[in-house]
Amino acid sequence: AMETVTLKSGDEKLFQVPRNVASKSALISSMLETAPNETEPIPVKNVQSPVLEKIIEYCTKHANDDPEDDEDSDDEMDGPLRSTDIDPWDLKFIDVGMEMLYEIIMAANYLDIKPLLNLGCKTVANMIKGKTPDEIRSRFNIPNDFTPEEEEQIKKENEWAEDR
Amino acid sequence: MALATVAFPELVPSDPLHVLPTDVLIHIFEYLSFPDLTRCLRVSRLWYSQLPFIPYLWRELQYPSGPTNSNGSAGPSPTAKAVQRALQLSGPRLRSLVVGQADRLTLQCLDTLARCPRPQLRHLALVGARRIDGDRLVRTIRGVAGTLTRLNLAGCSLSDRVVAEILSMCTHLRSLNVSHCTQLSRYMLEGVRLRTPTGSTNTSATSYTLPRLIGSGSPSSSLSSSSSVALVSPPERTLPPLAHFICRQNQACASPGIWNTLCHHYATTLREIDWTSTGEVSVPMLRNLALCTGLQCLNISHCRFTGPAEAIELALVQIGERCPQLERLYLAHLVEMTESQVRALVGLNSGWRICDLAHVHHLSDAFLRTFSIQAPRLTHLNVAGCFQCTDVGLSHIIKRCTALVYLNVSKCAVTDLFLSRLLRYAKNIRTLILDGCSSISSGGMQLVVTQPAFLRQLEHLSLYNCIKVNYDTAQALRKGMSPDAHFRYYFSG
Repeated sequence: AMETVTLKSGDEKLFQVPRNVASKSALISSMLETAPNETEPIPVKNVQSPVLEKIIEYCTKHANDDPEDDEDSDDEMDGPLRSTDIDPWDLKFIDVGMEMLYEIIMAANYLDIKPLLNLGCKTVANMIKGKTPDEIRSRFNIPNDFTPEEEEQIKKENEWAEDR
Repeated sequence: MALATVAFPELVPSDPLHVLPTDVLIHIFEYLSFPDLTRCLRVSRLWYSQLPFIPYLWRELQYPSGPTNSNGSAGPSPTAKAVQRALQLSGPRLRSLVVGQADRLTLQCLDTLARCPRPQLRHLALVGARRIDGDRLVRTIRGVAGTLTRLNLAGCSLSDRVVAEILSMCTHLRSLNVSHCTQLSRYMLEGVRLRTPTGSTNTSATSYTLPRLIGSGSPSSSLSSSSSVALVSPPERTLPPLAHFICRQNQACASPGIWNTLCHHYATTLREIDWTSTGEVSVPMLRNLALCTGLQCLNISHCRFTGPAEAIELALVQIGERCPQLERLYLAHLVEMTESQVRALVGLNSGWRICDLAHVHHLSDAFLRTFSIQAPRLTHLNVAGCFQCTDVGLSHIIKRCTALVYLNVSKCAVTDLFLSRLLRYAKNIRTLILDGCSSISSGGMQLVVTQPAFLRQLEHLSLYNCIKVNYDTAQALRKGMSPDAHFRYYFSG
């Protein structure tokens, strides 16, 4: 039978998952290495059950990926990183509310799941890319706290750099 | 009146700068370009005050950005203040600075650039700074010369002496672009800095000399007499590892001299010569090119061969033999080049990736057939205007060169049969140019419509002057393509 491990979410729910799925998290993977015979559930205190469920869904789907593919090689890179190369399954997976998106990003950061962190960050970046300041504000619900004069001044200061 | 139905925005804070930790924010903003980042500064006071303190983000600056400003349309001018602010934001992490229409830069900007330590700046482009004095440019570049690997000064006012200074300062320079620098003369590359015998770094004490070159004619006496240091033989030179030399549209300095100097001095490092529209290419020049055994890219589009056809062919064979790494070849508009000359150049090599053979009118199906065998890795092929090329030759290409992503067959004698082959074999095509293919009909293009996967992945489709393709078919094609893709359909008449 496939070896499994038990994860305990912040709200004390238990999740039994195959070991290779849990190992997508570099954090859990190193915990498993240091305590290999642990039968106790592994506490994932910072992550609540609805988020942990999503994380497990992602790790299950990607359990057998080649870890080489996870690396964004950015040595000798001239431009910004690419954010448009997202797999269709991932795109659907990450199509969630703003709050859940942030939760997933923070969980991926905490659990150290690089490809998921990349996916979350690309998704947020794509909400900013090519957008006007107004569009960005409404997307993230940010109030415009500039005075009209300030806004005009900053606009002037930067307009030469914009491409539209 | 209907207040109750008004949806209030959710009150959950969703500003990423409030919610996410800094390391994650850096990760997110790394996916954004420079114009995106400058727009972000206008979102809110928090964004305006926080983003500049992530200097890692500002390592690449480009003004004006995007290709839309390329044809001289005067965009808003970069003010000294704005550029200076950007330079300060970027801190020492700036890796790349690209300024188009650099004429608008003020002298203070150049001084700021020269003064600030930029230990990571590798790529500098100051394009079109025609009014800025060459010595001022040299002073600006001197501050960053040690790390610079790419320098683009296209359209600047450069004298021969300035180029020589740059080549001696930038010891790691791999790429130099001096296109459209009309003040350069044919002696541009011949001024090579000598180290003074004591090794002193006093720059004013150094001077230039003109090395004698094979086949380049004797340098004018006035220039040699201006050398104040006697020629030490052999002179101790410090040459950068120049790999890419881009010299387009420089008829004024077109001379075998520059080309030959390049081939002799940089024989071991040179990977690319771009000589587009710069003049004649003679037999001795081709022979000298064969010295550059690491050459990967040759662009002599819009040039003209001079000399006996057989001698040219022999010299081309020599290049094919000695330069096994050649993989990108641009011969567009060499209208008189014969098929056997093209064969001579490409025949001994099988690593071709990009071949621009537009308007090499002598090319025929027989050439395409043999070339298809020699170029299994070909990704880009342009045979526009090669009217002797038909379905037969191009079918060989399509069947064998399965990596093709770009294909331009404008004005070739292709029919709907070619399209059916294309759909069957060329699974990777992203750009397809069929301008002026008057035998391609609506029926053929309807075949394309029935292959949604093929159509969907096309990034560029051009049907300019395809007189047998009707409007409805064009509409159906457009509909099947991705909304971001480019589609061109028009005919005059």
